[in-house]
Amino acid sequence: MKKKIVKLVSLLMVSMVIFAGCSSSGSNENTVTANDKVFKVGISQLAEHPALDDARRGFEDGLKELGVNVEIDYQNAQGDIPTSLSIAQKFARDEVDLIYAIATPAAQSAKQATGDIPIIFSAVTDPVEAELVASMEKPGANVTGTSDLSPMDRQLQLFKDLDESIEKVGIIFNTNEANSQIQVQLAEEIGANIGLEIVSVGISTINDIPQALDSLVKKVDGIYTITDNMVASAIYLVSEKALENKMITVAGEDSHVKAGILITDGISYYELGKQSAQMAKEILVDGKLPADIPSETAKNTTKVFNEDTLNALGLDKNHPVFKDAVKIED
Amino acid sequence: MTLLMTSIEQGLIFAVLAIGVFITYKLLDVADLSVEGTFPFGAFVFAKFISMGVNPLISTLMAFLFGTLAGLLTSIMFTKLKIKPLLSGILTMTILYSINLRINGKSNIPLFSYGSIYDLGLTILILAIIVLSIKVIMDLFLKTEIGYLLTATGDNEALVKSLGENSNKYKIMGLMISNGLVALSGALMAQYQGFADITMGSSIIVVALASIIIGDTIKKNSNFIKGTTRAIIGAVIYKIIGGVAIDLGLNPNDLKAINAIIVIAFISYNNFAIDIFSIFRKKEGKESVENSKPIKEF
Repeated sequence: MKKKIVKLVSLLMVSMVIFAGCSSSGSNENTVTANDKVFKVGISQLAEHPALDDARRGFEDGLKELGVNVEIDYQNAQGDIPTSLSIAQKFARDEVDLIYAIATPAAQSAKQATGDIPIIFSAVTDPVEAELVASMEKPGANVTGTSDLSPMDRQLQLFKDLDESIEKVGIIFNTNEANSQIQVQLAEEIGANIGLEIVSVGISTINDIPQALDSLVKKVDGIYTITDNMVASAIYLVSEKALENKMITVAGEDSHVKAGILITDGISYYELGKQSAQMAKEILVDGKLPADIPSETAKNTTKVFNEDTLNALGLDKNHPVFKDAVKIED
Repeated sequence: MTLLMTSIEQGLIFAVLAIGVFITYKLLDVADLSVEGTFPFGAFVFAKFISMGVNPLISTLMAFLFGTLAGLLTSIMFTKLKIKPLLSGILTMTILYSINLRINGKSNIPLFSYGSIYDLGLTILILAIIVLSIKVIMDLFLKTEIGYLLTATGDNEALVKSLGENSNKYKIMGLMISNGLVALSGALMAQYQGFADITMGSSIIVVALASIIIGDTIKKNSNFIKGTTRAIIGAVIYKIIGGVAIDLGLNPNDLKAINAIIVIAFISYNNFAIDIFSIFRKKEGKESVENSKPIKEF
């Protein structure tokens, strides 16, 4: 009798899950009014993350604004690479008209899965290093997209603008992410040109952050937060520690400033998504080939600052650095 | 390429992983968590060799060999340094993380511009050949004296010692072969997906164990269907289930939970049912007796 009950319960569990999943899958598909051809677009996102979510929303909104009629199939690999490969293979099977891949492993999986279907990537810091494109100007194959490389030169310059005496800047980065290593190297090169020495600490899990921060604040005059998924998850901690030590902080993206980092001259993933949507329109509606569409970095950057942090650090709001800056809304 | 084909291909790659974990988890009864580090280790070793110009077949073989070294590390920790096996595995995994980053200097290595083992022919066929060869070799090995002693070490270590054998020798051997296979699986996966990434190994132990357990729902103690076969079948089924979950268009946030629930369903079924072929068994005594007159009447 017990055996039968267990068999029945397991059968019930599985069918419940499938039905529950099926019913909510309705929210998965997004059909815009069809007067022209409706294009099938597969969105492959690597993981749940505010920046990646923004890149997706910007893309969807951008397509709507440009009047492109799309039927979207959104899949999220939950951080698992073999899953992102299966997702890409599914899109290839479904013969979608375009794949939008958010984050490097998702884009690489898409490239591996199909050499014909146009692929647009976003939130990839170095597309050339990831071998997604032959070069930014001439991608060369069926892949092109937008890179989230921050205008680091402008951002690091902010340190010097705010306080000439700053010599050492600390960076925490996630050793798991290739994009982070690239940013640290770039920071070191740029820093060398403007007289800043970069002190970096690599961590592999989020639990290492408190200790890494403690050791870092003793050695540096300011902290720079790169666009890194792990740092983004612990950004409140970073800004708190920096504030305790009365340190000036500069961020790589505006979501950090919302969490307490002083200032950034940065990109918005949402806008990056819209840039990607423009590329999508050119491919789907205008019939251009991805090989002929140069990959782009963020076109627009905005200087954003956090007023609470500014006051807590005792800085002068009328300092020229903040003149054209926008105060971040909480 | 149909859903079935791609699921089977991924399933076969993970079948190699499952056979590796089968050796430690099932035969030696050792929980070896180092696989999370060994899997990407195999991928990164492959990437290193292929970027040096070595051909894909040899590069893949090198991944296997280096994997055995990882197994050696774990086994030395717990046989010689007397560190508990669970901890030894975790320590090896932690060490391998740094080693993996050091091998190529980056955490993500694209392999698009290099050849792969799949250039030799049809991917699914090549994988099938690889998996079957490994299975046959393993089965033959397990039938040798050394193989039996290895199995015995996991079952009853005292027995092995009473025979005058050094049980540690077999644990080391088992761990080396196991990790070699896991690394091989990592190299196969890297070639399949087109890149090696440091996060490839996360939660891979779950995939391996789920494959073994699912395989076990098919006649557990049969002599006909060997443990290695069950591991292969389990891995392929697990990936097919995953593929179906994605294809059904279920809410992407629920994907992981759905995979876990399906595994739970298999495990509970496995724990309470003996095997699925029970319906084909002969009816129990009472039901098959037609003439039920008591003996006194004769």
